[in-house]
Amino acid sequence: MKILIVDDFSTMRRIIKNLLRDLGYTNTSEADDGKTALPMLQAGSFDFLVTDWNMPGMTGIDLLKAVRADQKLIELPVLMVTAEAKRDQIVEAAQAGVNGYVVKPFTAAALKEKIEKIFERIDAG
Amino acid sequence: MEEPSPFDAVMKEKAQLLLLNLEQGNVNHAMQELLSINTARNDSLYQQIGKITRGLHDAITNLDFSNADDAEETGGRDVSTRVDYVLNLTRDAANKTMDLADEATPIAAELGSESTRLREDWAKLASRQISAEEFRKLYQRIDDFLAYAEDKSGKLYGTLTDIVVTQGYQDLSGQVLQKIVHTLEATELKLVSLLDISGQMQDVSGIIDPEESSKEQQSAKDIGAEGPLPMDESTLKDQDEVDELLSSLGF
Repeated sequence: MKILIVDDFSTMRRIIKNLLRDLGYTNTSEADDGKTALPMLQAGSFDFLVTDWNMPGMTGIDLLKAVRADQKLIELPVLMVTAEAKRDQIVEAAQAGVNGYVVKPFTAAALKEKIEKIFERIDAG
Repeated sequence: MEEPSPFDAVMKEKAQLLLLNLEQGNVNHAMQELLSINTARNDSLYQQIGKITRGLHDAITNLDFSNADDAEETGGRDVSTRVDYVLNLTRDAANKTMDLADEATPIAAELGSESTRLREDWAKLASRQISAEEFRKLYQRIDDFLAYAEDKSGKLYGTLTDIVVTQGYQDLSGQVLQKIVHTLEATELKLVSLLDISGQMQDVSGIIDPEESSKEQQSAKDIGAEGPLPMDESTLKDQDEVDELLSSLGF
């Protein structure tokens, strides 16, 4: 399971990486915005994308839309981990095809639960 | 140099007409030119005041001070609410991290001290210095200790994970601070453009800039709390430099 973590704050990338490691997922890569992440996704064989929303360059929502517009990445599971908590935003992310949405600040249990749920669905599908 | 204002052109034109009328003895007409210069000056002043008012309004709206009352509805968009948010967030994160460390410290201490006691008794067992009764007790203590270690290492693991997650405050406060910086930069630009306008206005109004006194006021206003940043030539490096400065001031 190869996972890409996208967030402009390195502290947050480290936190998510740490929690994923606890769940047994050690094969992670990092990017600091959508612009850097998209070519990595297109080039590499990632199985899962965890992204922030508010980032300079290319935002997480634009990255999500770009991923869903790419035939090779259309099925890639995407978890959004963000401080954007407005109803409209969550609706937009859902319409754009997000697989999970975790609002910062989050607890370890909440993030783990969302990640496990997404993986369960992947395994079932 | 500032751009010549439209008033400059009017004043030149009218002044020439004024001079012409006076030379020709048309005092009546000359007075009219004088009046029209005055009217043009007033119009220009009103225009500049209008620009300044508009600029100040924009700058204040930008900082959202005027919306402080409905900050709750807008999600706390004004600068002071944002700074308060960062203060609370960092304070809560620091307290939570210290609480978690306080929970973990006695566990680590207990694991260490019980290990030391058990090892001493274990050494006695190894050198066959204990009775059958003492052996039974040691057996029970080791059993208890293993259960304790298993339970508490799970607790330590959870505490350490919580400490890591708590550091998310850096991301959240960072996002807010980035917004504050953008707001302040935009406001600074607006205020600088106000300075240009008020410079033009001083020309039109004929008010002399009391430069010296304004400089003194400025340096008095600059003294205030700045926190650890920004570091520049005026920043002292360490306590020694501070003490040195204080002693040179007679402290």
